Amino acid sequence: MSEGFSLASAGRALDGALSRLVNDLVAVPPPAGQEWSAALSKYRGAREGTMALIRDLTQEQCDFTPAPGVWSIGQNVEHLLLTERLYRTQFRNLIALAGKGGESNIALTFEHIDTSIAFIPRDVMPLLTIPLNIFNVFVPGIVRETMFRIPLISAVNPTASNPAPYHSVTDLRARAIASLAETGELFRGDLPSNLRNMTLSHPLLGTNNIPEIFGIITAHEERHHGQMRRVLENPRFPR
Amino acid sequence: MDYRANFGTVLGLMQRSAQVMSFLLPGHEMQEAQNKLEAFRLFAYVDQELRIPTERLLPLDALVRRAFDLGHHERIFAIEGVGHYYAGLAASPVTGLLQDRQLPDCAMVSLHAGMGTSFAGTMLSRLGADPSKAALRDGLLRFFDLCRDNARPGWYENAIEPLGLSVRTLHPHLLARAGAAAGEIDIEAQRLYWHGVGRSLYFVPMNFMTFGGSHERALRTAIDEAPTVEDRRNAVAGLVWAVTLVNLCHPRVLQSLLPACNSIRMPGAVKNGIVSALIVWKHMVPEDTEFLPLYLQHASGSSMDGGLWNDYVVDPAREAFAAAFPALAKEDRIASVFQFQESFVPPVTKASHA
Repeated sequence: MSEGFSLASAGRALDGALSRLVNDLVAVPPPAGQEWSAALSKYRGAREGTMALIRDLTQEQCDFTPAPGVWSIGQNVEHLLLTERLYRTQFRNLIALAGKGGESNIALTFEHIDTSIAFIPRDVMPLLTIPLNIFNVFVPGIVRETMFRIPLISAVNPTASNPAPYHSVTDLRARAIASLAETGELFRGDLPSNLRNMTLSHPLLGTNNIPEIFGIITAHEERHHGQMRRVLENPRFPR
Repeated sequence: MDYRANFGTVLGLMQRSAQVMSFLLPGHEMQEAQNKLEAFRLFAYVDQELRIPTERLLPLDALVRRAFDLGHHERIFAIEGVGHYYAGLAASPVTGLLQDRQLPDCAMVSLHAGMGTSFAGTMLSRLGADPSKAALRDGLLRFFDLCRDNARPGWYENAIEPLGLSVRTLHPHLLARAGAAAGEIDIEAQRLYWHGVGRSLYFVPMNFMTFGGSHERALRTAIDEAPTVEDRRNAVAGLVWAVTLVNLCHPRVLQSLLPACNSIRMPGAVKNGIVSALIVWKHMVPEDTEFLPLYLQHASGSSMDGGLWNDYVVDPAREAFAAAFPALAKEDRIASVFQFQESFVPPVTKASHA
């Protein structure tokens, strides 16, 4: 059987994408108290995928860039770790806010996370805040998550997660494990009972609770696995 | 906005619309669409159907008892949903999930299918999009161990068969690789895998609509995707099984499938799928006296449709219920029908799968 492109393989891919969407949409939410472990478990799965991709890389392979402007595997991983740090800060803020009681949402703007989508300059994005907020009311979180997972629309990362060109591969491996542990640590022990009601809103990302944010960063990490695999498959990749 | 609940409402509306349309339009398509939607809704929204409380996890036998209050046909998909729901929420690591003797024997097929689907889905989601060969093999071994640790003795095959269904539905890019990896571990697991793939082909989005030659398309896909003759037989048997069981209360749907089945010239696989589904129905709903007899009654006259019905359904089913079913039930080996076999005479028990 050929695994190359064919109508049959395109049909199968469509089957998979639609089935995953429906599967996520109808998934029974975890019972109270298990939300965090379930969300973290999915995220851990994505990180294990990242670790598998960089486990045997040499420094030369880690730094290889297939073309100007295309990230190396090292840059991809650094970007993932910076993204995790960005959201870890927000998780910490949400936990602190939940502990105080009262407010249940942290509203971020493009000043906090200046992400963008293809062909739209960062400076223009704030002008789209209102239409994007309206759009997000009608788009289920799972559809947004799928948009993160499937690179149909290219995205522009926030400045805060812009990776520097070179990183020690040994350091990246250690930080990939340590960073996940640090995120997991936030959800250990006694957590405010109203934490499940807390949300983070952003014009482009919509309004999401903590498991939904984990869903987004898991999908984001899986999307970068594809980018990293394309670097690995490049004919000029150092063997 | 609760998108899950809204989607459930939409499914219910679609099902009711199909029900109304089935009275107005000729043919089996609307009835079949309604049956498919109902099977999926009962499985995916079992928590709503059985009004399962969210604040605490009820014991599994209590959930199964609730499902027994539903109609015969609804019950089998709801119990599969219960198995899926319960396995998904059970604390990890879980053992002995379905080994409680309080659980009725007639719920075993559905519970093992649901549990296997849940375990396979979880394992696959943790593999990432493109696992290495070693990671895939490790994942499958973990899945097999988990099924072995939680299946009731004699039901292991029933629990691992949904692996193929989960892969084909949610991770179809792994279809060939996972089948080969399963076969490297255990050739029987490969057969069960392709049976599960066949079952999934009845529900995947490209075949979900019941119009436009969906039966022919699904059969063709089963044949094209499976790499070996044995795998093809299992995929076709699995697909035919799903059509038979989902539409069991409406035999005309199976009747409409038979001309397409006849054209692929794989009578053994088709008969196996039909009879296996009838065997598990008899096991799951032993008290049924309404529907099963319809499949044991010869069609009169000499029409082509009647001939196919007698050849593919009635004769093999009568034979199986006369000899194989009593033996399989007596030996607690109903799960052995989850793969294609030349004959339903029970093969020798494999101790490793007990």
